Amino acid sequence: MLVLLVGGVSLLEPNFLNAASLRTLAEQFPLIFMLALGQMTVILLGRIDLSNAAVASFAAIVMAKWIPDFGVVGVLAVLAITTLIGVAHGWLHVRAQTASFMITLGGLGVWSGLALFVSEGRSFGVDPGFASRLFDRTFGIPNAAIFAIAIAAFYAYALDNTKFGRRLYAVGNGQRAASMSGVHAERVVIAGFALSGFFSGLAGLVLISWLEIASPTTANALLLPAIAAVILGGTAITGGVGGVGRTLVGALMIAVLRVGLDVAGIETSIQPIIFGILAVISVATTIDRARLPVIK
Amino acid sequence: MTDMSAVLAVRDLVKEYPGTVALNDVTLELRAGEVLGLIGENGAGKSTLLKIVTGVEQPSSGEVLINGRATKLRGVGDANAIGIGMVFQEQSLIPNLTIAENLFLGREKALTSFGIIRRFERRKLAREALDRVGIDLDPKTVVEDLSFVQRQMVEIAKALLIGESSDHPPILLLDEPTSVLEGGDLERLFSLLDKLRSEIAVIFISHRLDEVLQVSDRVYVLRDGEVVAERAPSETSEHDLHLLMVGAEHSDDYFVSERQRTEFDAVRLRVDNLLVEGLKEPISFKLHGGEVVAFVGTEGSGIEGVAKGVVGILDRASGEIAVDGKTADIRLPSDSAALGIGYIPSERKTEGVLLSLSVRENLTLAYLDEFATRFVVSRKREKAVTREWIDRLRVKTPGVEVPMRSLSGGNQQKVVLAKWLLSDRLRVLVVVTPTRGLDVGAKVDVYDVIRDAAERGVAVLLLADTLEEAIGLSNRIMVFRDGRQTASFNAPPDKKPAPLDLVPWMV
Repeated sequence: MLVLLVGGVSLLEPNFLNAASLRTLAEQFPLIFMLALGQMTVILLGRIDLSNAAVASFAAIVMAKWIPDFGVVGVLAVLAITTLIGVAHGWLHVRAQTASFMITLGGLGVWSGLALFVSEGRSFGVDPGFASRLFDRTFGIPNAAIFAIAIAAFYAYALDNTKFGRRLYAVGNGQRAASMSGVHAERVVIAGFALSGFFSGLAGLVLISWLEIASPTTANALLLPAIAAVILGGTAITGGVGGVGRTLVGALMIAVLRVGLDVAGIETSIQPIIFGILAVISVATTIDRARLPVIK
Repeated sequence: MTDMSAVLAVRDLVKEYPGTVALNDVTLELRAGEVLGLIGENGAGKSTLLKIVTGVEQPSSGEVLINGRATKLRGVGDANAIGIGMVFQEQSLIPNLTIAENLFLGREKALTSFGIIRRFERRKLAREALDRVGIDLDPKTVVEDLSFVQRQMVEIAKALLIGESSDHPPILLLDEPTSVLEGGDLERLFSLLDKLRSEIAVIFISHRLDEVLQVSDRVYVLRDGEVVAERAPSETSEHDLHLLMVGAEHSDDYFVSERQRTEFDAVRLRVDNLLVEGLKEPISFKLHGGEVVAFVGTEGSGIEGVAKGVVGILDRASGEIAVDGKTADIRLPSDSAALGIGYIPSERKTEGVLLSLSVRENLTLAYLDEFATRFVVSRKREKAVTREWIDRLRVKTPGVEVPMRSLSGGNQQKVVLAKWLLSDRLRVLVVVTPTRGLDVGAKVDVYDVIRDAAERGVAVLLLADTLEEAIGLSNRIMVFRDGRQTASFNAPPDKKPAPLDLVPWMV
């Protein structure tokens, strides 16, 4: 499907496969990928995080403000804060027994509002020296892309082979059965949201180093594309099935689509419509796949 | 049997799933006016056969004949349309609709004028349908207000209605209709079948062999996907059928009580003043290593609450729990698991296993720590241990990596047991109706596993499926009624109390 997409776009717009758009692709991709990895973690648990793009915006603003004074320490502090934001969402969801979409919808309001409040609605330039380090190229590939792939590789290994990863899948597949087998399900759910927060923080970092500017709303538009990337990649919205590899493919597809639409000169206002429809269609089709006949 | 024509027949039916053959060349026929018993162990192919006959699954090869014509069934709708009605174990009525609404659900078209349902006519037809099965109920009654047996009767009425609209006698498929019925209710069902016998054709599936013998005109025995025998009830016996089902003679002693221990280790579990929802007064008890203690009582006696309170599924109003003499702080099942208390829940499919995960992932979930060095789980160790337990408990599975849903119920239950038994840290096993819905062979296997556990010093708290099972398996029986303990019996292997000794304390 990815190949088809690339083929289709280059057919429509022969310029697509040139160096410039490939570079744009490599710059776009890490941002979507980081958001998608966070989203995937909660979707694997059968939950959803509607706040993660807003948290990324918030993270970008605070990082931009703190980097001049604190440098790397500021970045780490913001990552810690976004992780805690995730913990708070997870904890509220578990404690108040309230649907995750509701908690994180509230979170979306809070964190996007806070991003506007802290920034007073303005955009910030980011210390170019700092930004360039992450966005330098090694053999022509942006460091951010390498960084994203490295993190993903580590995460893929961890989900597959650690106790936490195995429990995550167990809870996503059947929370009652998992907890009757001695898994502390609530803790796993909170940890899942914490990871979503952490990846949102990383997305914020990727964002400011790419654009060298932090605006309070830039990332917000990426909520839908990130969800679409997860589902399109083949992670089931019902939880328990999916993984990093699939999300990588999904994020690449979304990135190709975004860049392709730009290259083809399709108006930006059309794009959210496409992603909205794409997200719905991909959910509908995965749901069908999850209802495979019961084999006995 | 005046009419010998087959209403429903299957010929050379084969159904293959990846890794297993569920049905292997099955040929059988159902004649007009008979009740056909169908028995076999779990995994013998009964469910698969039913699924094919109702169009839920398609055969790999072979054919289904309805009234002599080869017929392709594409779904339950098709099956209904040609007069096959079914009553499944899990009831299919919608609780918040009325009886009349349920009876004609999905087939309102004939009762509709200008898009509006003719309610009075529907009610009248519902009334007639209820009369046929001999229950006196108002069709306007909402289904959730009915008792279980009443619902069962409504289900049968519905299946008959579905079966009527065809050129042959209605075909009724009854899958374990009696598994939750008792005494008088059971009699009502059977007398209804007797009454209807001449006008319909019934396939009757049950684990209770005595019932099959009582109600059927002929009995087919399935084993490992093949028909191994066809018998008339007059020429066979329960024992005989049992042997045909399992394929080998089991020891006469169903509960392997020669392996029951008579001397125990130290106290493993001590419970003081436990009070949970369902209990009216606090209870205290001790379980020794190697001892099996059964809690018996009818519904509402509070014994489910005791089991759930001990493992931390239910909040305790009061009560102190100690494992190996050390006071334990149990708030969640994860706490009790960490202390070595294993739990076998009664709802196997939703609480016991993760159907989409592999046998290996299910087996190692409870004691993942034992397969991991700090964070990373060793797949090699997991596989080795999984294979070992598959061998030990004779789990029938195509492999260790297949999803749990491809195993039959009995084999799934063995994996659930193995999940706890594989660890030396297991101290106490809380077992709730471990053999519910299992066939005879799988039951005996489960009993064997429970004996194994006791042998190595695990204390077993048992909520049995039947009174016989409680008595047969346990060293001691605690009887409950209405949230209070009413009696306690010792049950050594050579001096078991009779069920009738216990009953007065239960009701």
